[in-house]
Formats: sequence, structure tokens, C-alpha cells
Amino acid sequence: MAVHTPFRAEVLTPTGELFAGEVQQVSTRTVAGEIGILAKHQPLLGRLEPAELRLTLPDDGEVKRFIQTGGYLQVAQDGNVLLLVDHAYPVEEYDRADAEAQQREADERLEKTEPGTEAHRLARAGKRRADALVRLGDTLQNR
Amino acid sequence: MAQSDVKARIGSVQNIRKITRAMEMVSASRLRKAEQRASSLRPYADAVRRMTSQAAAAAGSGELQSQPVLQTHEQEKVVGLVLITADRGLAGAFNSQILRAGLTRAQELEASGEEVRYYVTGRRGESALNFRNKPIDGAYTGFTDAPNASHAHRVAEDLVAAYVDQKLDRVEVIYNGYVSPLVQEVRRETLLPLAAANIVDDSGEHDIAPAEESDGPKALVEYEPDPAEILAELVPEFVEISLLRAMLESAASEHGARMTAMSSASDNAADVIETLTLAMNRARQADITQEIMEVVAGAEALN
Repeated sequence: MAVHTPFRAEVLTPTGELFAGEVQQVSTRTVAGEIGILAKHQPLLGRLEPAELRLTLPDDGEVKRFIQTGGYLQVAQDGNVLLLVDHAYPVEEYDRADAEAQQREADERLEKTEPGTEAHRLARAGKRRADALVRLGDTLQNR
Repeated sequence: MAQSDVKARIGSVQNIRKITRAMEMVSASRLRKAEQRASSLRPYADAVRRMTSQAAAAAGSGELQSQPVLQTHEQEKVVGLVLITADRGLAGAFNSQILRAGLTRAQELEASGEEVRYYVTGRRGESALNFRNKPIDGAYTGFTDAPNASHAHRVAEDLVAAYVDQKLDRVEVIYNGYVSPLVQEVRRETLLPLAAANIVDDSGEHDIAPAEESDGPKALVEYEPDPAEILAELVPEFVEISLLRAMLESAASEHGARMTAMSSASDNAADVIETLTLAMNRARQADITQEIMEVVAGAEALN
């Protein structure tokens, strides 16, 4: 594997810093689709979808894998990358049952809210994220 | 007072002191945890705020009106006041100063013809508002000593939904900001509308500078989806994180306030014990003197 110029990446969650340091590449998923970021990427602000987040470290090319449940991605003018993730954890800790429980909860919320209200719109967004999280489990399993 | 009464009182004060000491210790250890959680949220909260201001700058004022959550309502008639209090008392002025600030603010607003809707976290605040017959639109209890993102999410979702559905025109939060274990200060922040919220950064120094501040040639920023849509998603996130931050700071303040209150209660108990012990010794001395006098008087009578 080719070695790319390293750059700085930070992954922040509400409970603290998940990762901070040099990486060769950041691979994740925004609402527009899969995205891989190398050094000197164009400045970007994007909404993250539930997906696998891969950070390729410099030197030996070791890949750190996390599950992200949603959040924001920012590439600054200097090419540094900041990921704000609502909730993130190592791939090994993916819990199918928990994802499905969240999906059921999202379904319930959706049913309780009235169509046309903002509460309904938010519930729908929650449902979409919960579905994506379950689908993510399928892709991980089939690997 | 008879000796035995004083003895009983000393015993009960000693028991109280044991309890207040224990509560002080518990609060001290919870304070550490709460303080740590509040400080680990800070970088994230700052980053959300920065991104929100970047997206707001990029979206421009015209597009700000395209998403309901970004709109400033034409008339500000209904104000949602979010009061962050605790589930439990015994924390000095912790809860009462929030209620006082909240009610004062409500009076101000009502004086200028606005309607106030209360949202409250913590049982103390809820019962105090009920007692005063204030209408509560949302009460959230049972988590104030260790709040997490899902609690903040629930409150934020209700507020944002009410704002977008035009039930609220403005949202303010009042909470105990954490300064140090001994000092809490009442803070009031505006969360919505976005234009009134303090999203322009006040703290300066940041490792990843926002686009509009860096020098030299600037590359065009790409947005996925477009800035107004990102902003529409960021605003609820901003409200949620601001609330979570307020709740976490309030939790740290609560433990700090309780620790201080219990520490002075323990000190006070020690003083009371000392006074009572003196009183008891004096009573015992009086009894002994009395007895001796009776014995002497009796002996003299026999002679």
C-alpha cells in the first residue's frame, strides 16, 4: 500500500476525545456517500451517516476501525480533519441487539408523533439513522 | 434542661453530623466525576459552536430563512424558559437561586408583554413551579445528578419542535454554571433563534481555525449537503449540546453546592455538640452540688 502524506485528524465525541493524531487517510460516509480523505483535501463541511469510520495510521498503515452513529465532518483550510461524532465505539463492540432496540424505539416515536410537525420530522430522521445502523450491522457480518 | 434530655440531644446531633459528613464525602466523589464529564464535553461543544457559525456564515442571511428552524419569528411573543434544577435539595441556595432568577426573568418578560412557557429539569424545580401554579410545558426528572446525551436530546427535541411549530418564539436556559467546587454562578443563555444565540466564539484559541479567519489564499469550502441544510441539522445539535453542557455544569455545581452545604452543616453540628456538652456538664455539676448540699444539710440536721 502506498504511503501518503500524513495529516492531523481528531475524532471528538460528547464523552471525550476518541482519537487525535497523524493519519494517512480518513474513510467515512457523509449524506453524499462514501468519502476518503487524504492530505490537502479541499475544505469541507459534511453531515455524517452511521457507518464504519476507518483511520489509516502513518508508517505501518495500521487501520483503526470505529462505528460512527452520525455527526459532522470538517476539513479545515489547512487540511486538518475534525470529526464530531454523536456516539462512536470500536467496531468489535457493535451490538446488533442494541441497534435493533434503537430501531424499535425510533418506530415507536414515529408512530406517536403527528405527521407535518417538526417532532415528526425529527422522529423520521431518528428512524433513518436507526435503520442505517442496523444495515451497517449486516454489512459488517457479511464481510 | 435535665441531664438526660441534653444527652439525648447530643446523641441526635451526633447522628446528624455522621449523615452530613457522609453526604459531604459522597458529593465530593461525585463532584470529581461530574467535573470530568463537563470538561470532556467542552472541546466537542466548542467545535459544534464553531461549525454552526461557519455554516451560518456560509449560508448567508437570505438562506437562513429557508429552513423553519433557522427562522427568526416576526414577533417574539412566547418565550420558553428552561430552568435547570436538581432532583434533590440539601444543596444550599442551589435550587432557589435558579428559581429566583427564572421567576425574575419571567416577570421582566411578562412586563414587556411576552408570554412565558416553563421547561424544567429536576424535581425541585418542578414542584416549586407547581406550587406557584406556573404552567409547565415540559418537566424532565430523575437524571440531574448524572445527565447524559439522551436526556439532553429529549429536552432539545421538544424545544426545537415547539420552536419550529411556532409554539415558542425564543428559548432561554437558566442554569448554575460551574466555576469551582465552592462557587457556582447563575447563567442565562439564549439558544433560539439562532441569530440571538451566542455562536460567535468568545474563547479565541483553537487548534482548527474556522475558514473565515485563516490568512492567505482560501480554497472554496465544499458542503455536503448544502450549508442551509447542514445548518438545519446543526441547530438542533447545537441546542442539544448547549443543554447537555448546561446540565453537566449544573450537575457539577449541584455536587459542589451540596458538598459546601454539608460541610458547613457538619461544622455547625460540631458547634452545637460543643455547646450542648458544656450545658450538660454544667447541669451535671449543678446536680452534684445540689446533692452535696443536700447531704451536708441532712448531716447537719442530725447533729
